[in-house]
Amino acid sequence: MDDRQQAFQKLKPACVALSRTALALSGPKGSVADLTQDLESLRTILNSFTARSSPLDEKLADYVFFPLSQVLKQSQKLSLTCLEITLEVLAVLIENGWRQHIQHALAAQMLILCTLLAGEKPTGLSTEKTTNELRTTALRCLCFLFRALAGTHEGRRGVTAESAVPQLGQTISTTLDALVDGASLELQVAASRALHALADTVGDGDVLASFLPGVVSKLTRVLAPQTKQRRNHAVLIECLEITSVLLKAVLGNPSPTSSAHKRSAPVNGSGVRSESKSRNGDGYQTEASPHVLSALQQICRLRGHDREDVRAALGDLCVTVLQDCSTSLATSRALALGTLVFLSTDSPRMWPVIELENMLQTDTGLLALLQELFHDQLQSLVQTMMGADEYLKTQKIQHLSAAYGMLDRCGATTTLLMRAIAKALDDSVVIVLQSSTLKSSQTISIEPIQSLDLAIQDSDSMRTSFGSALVLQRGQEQVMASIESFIESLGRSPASTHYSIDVAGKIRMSHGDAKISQFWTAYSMVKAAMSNDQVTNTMLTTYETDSANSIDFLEELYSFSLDALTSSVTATAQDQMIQGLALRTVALRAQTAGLDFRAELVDALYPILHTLASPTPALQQDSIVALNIVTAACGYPSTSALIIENFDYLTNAVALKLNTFDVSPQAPQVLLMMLRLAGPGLLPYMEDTVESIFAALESYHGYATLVELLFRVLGVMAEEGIKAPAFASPNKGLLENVYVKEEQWQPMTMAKLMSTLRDRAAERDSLESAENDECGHQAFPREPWAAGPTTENEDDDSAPPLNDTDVEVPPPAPKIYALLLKITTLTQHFLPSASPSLRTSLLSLIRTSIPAIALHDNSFLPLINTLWPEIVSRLDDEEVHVRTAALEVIALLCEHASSFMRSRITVSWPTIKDLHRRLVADLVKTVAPVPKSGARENVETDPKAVSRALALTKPSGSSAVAVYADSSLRLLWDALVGFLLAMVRSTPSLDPDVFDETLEMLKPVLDRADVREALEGPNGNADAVWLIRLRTSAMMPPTVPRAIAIEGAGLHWAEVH
Amino acid sequence: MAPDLPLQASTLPPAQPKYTLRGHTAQVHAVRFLRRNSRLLTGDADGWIILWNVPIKRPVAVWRAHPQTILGVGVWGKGDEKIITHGRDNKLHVWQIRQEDETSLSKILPIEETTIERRAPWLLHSLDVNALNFCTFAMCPVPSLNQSTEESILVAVPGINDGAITITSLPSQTRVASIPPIAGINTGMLMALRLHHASTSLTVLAGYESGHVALFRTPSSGQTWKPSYVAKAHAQPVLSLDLALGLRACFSSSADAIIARHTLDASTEPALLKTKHAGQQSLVVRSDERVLATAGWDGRVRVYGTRGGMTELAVLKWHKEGCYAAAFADVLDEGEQLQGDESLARQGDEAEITTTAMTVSQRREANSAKTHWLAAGSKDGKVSLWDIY
Repeated sequence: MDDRQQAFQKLKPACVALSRTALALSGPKGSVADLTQDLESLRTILNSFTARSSPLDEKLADYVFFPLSQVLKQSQKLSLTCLEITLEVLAVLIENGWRQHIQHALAAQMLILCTLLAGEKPTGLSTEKTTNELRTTALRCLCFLFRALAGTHEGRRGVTAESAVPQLGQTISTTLDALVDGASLELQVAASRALHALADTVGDGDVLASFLPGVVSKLTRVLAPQTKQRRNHAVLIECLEITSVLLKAVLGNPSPTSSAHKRSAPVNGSGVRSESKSRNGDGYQTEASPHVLSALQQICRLRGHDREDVRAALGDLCVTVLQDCSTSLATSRALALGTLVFLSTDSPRMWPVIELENMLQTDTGLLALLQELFHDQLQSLVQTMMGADEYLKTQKIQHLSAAYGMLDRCGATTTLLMRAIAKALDDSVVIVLQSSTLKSSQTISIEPIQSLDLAIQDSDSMRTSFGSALVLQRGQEQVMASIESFIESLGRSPASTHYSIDVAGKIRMSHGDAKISQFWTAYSMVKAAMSNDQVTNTMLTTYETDSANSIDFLEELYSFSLDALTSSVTATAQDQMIQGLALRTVALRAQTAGLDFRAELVDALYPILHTLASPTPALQQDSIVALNIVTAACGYPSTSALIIENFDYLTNAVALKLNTFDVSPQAPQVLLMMLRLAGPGLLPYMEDTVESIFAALESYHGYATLVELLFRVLGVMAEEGIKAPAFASPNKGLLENVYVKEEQWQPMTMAKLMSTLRDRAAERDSLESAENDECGHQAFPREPWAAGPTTENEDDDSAPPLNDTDVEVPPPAPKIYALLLKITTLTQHFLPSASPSLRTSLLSLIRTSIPAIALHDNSFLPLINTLWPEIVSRLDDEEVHVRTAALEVIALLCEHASSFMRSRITVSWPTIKDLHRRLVADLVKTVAPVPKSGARENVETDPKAVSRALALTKPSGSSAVAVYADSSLRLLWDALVGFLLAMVRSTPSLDPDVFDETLEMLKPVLDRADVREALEGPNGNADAVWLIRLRTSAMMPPTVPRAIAIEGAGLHWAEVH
Repeated sequence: MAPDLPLQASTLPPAQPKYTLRGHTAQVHAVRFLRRNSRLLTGDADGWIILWNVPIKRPVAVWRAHPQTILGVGVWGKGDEKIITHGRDNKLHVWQIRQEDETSLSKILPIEETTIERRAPWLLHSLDVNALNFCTFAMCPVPSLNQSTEESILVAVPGINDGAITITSLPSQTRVASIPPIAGINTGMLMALRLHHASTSLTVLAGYESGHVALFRTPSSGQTWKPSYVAKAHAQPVLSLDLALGLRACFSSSADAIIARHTLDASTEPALLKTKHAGQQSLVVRSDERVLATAGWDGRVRVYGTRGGMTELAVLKWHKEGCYAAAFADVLDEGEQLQGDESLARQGDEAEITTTAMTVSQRREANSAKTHWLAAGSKDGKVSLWDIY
């Protein structure tokens, strides 16, 4: 009361002022501006109330309305603003003041007034024009008015009374006009709210029925999505709700209570009339039905609306159609159902959708309708898929998926249905695939991974999710994703098992895209089933047979996958897709089996690696992912560990592949990787594999790439082989020392010479004396035989026993050794190959294996004999790097075979000299690019030019003179020097001519310590080095001690010069 | 009998081994499946024995049973727990390897060339036997009268004299019989032996260096052993013999190209198949007696039908060197095969139901046990496994 009193105190002056101004307006002094001001202040006061809990009541409202009625009487003279404020105040009064207690007469008047003002061309105003604001306020006022009226029975009756109907029609039409054509958003919103309130208030189906066609058609105009005008969501929601209310009211199912009520209470005329109308009810209902259907068709296009609340409102409308208008709007049910199903794809937890599912549980007719709908959709799916609208395709599939989900939850799925779905999906996938292969022409660049072992080690970064299995165009991914999710939902339902077994049988029979699509479908399904099983297994232990079925199905797919993976032909993109799917299946199988999958690795591991070596990057990626998954499933710490611990299986698979003369590059690639990862321990198992490789080399020696690959494998075998513990260094060192000691030439010392001469003299003396004696004192030896001629036999003492042991010693690590020997021997046939890279790799292979092979003399020396001609002929090779490699090999041979090489070097010395000459010429030419024909001879022999050239081409570069030079020449020079040094170092008793010429060749590098050390070493000749250094004035001649200077000696020096 | 070789149809690609067991460095002289085909026993010329797990194709036990060549291997006892090895070192050992023992034994293959000492399994018996030539022992179980006692077996080995046979009982290690050389024929050395113990009588089958095959039956007490059947089927020494009791027949192979089929009951002439492949080191008949296989010096394993004209069914070529031993896995499901389609289908269903309960590895083992394996050991030290017929 206190509040009310205060409010009254506040309102009173404003009202008094207003009434005075309003009265004055009718007089000559009236001012519209003053009126406006007063109205403003009144509004402010009223608004201040409404901000708090409103103290207004009907009494106060009546009090405030009095001056307002004065104002309204003068309405012709008022300005639009003035009217607007008046209406606003009025709205507040209705809303907060009178509320349900509004007087009906007043309400009717106000209805007329507001309708008038809300119109676009209000009559009876000061101007012909109106503003949006005014119309909006009028409509708002109407809205409150209807709400107020709705509160009481009397109020509602007043509105629907027969006499009021024309006015009601006027109001509806005005409101609709504002709604449809309203220029401002507020106007439209206000109109929609007003109409909503009106519809709620009227409630009487019979009254509304007469307005229904018009209202619905207008509303449809609002609701139907148009390109030129996008309606505000608030308007849309209101309109949808209005439609819903109208349909429910007009076309709603006759509820038993309401009809009973109508019959039992024919109290007055309206009751009689309503009865008579309801008899006609069926008539107008059937009449309205097609109109409503076409309207709904328009409205339902809103299902794709962005806002969820709009879609929810649409859903409500559809639920109304299905639930409340099931008889009258039977024809629209399919549409409503379809729309609801559609809506459920985006927001499955939306209230209308849940409502629908509840309905489906009880309403068998609806369920049948859904099935029918689903079938129709399924039928048209393929056609849609053939179209170009990707969005439509996605929608369609999602739609189907949602419908299927509902059917499934109602337990209405049948095997027949599953078949139909599967067929349709299969066909759809095929269509997608075909369109993608049609447009994207396949250009696969063959670039195999160079080193699988690196790829494997990289893969330890553990990527464990696959990309899309199918090669698709952009834009198709959406469609496929939706298909996939549909399949997954299929797979989760127990009914799928029948279908999946069906599919498994079909896959092997079909071809091409159909095969891919079936495989893909099956895979997606079993994947879903498996994940589902895991859930059910952890949650509860039912569905045992189902999970068993899906395991069987997976088993079937898995065996198919293994076959697909190992098939050697992977020419087409289709095969690759199949293999990609197969990899996924294997990975899935591994995940399902867990640690148990280790036993399966005997069959499964090689196929995965086989695809890793494939030339397609996508497949390689898949393969790596599959490997990672398998590694994780089997509990190995890394992929390399997986491979190393299962190398026996891999060996077997690779050997089988090679044995069948399968010349695809995958098997050797995998072998290469295994060798790198597993090391020398693998080699003993490689015996038959090497034989197969040899056989392959024999049969396919014309194919350079293959031969190179195979030799790369052999080269790696050699590399790994020499790492075997049996070839460890201490053993080797021992043997080497033996060689050096064995035939080392030692210059005779002066003392020895003297003793020898003395011995000889003594011998001669003794012989002479013996001859003199004649009787033969020598009948008995005076000393043991062995001790006799000491000097000559010194070497023999140590050598023979060593030789003996050498003969008997079997080669170390017989299997690996034999393998190395075999491989190295084989190279002889391929050294003259046309491919320079093969020649180089062969020579490097020889270089790798020689140190190990050299451990066993009896095999090594014959090998040298076999290989020597081929290696020497490589010295003439047109490729510089091959020559370099050949020289390096020869140097190595010298190191390991020492004296065995002596004669061979002597024989091929001219070749080496030739090589040297050409090299020097080339070297000098690179430094001085303009050759002077006259000076050519000089240049070649000029060591200074050579050393200058070397200095310039030195890779470290004394940057002063930046000369571009072929570094291969430089390398060749290094190799030559290396060879010469090795030769001098390890070959005893070199031909003196050879040594002299060596010295000559090495002149440019005589300053190097290692060179001098070798040349002055036990097999060299320090004097000759000294001499040549003196000559090239690399050092000063020693000052000849004057005292001992002998003429003869001096003469000799001169002669040497 | 004239060889009735059909023309080889080459529509199928050449068969490939399912797997190759690499592990021996020396010639493989003996192969044998045991424990319901879950294990394979192989022995080589260096005396190494490897017990393989067939489903996963990996060794479960590796040891050196003899310092010299293994001549033969056998199994004995419940669950095939006892393994008999016969070496050229004049020893016959009986080892015990139970399932639980496998974990404690070395799995390092001889091919690894390590010097690690491998633990030998528990040695139950060791017999001194005569092993001057390459004749391997023969054994058969003795039907025991009382179930509780340990099953006893008879082991036949060549005697001291050329052509003589000594039969010893195990585990008692008592000599049961001594069969003298056949009087009046110069048979040369004993080359191959087979034993079979029916309810009361013992059947001994012997192949000789001269190419003779002889059949002995337990004589009535007090009498000496005399052959009930002697036939010279081969021009070269007999190399292998096997019995097919269901067919009342036995088969012999030799260093020449002939496979002979001898009838056990009537003393008719043997049926001869001239194969044109001399040197058939090992001949085995599968447990269902439908096929037999020979391992040949030419590196091929050949499969023949046992009935009719001994048709050549398959030539298995993988080994580059001679094959010295062959073995069939036991056919475990022969009962099923003989039954009608209906029961087959029913059993299929049952099998399906039972398989669902299995884990992956169990399933794998079951599949492996059902596979009709044929193992061939070769001079190259490898054992190839074929899945055939």
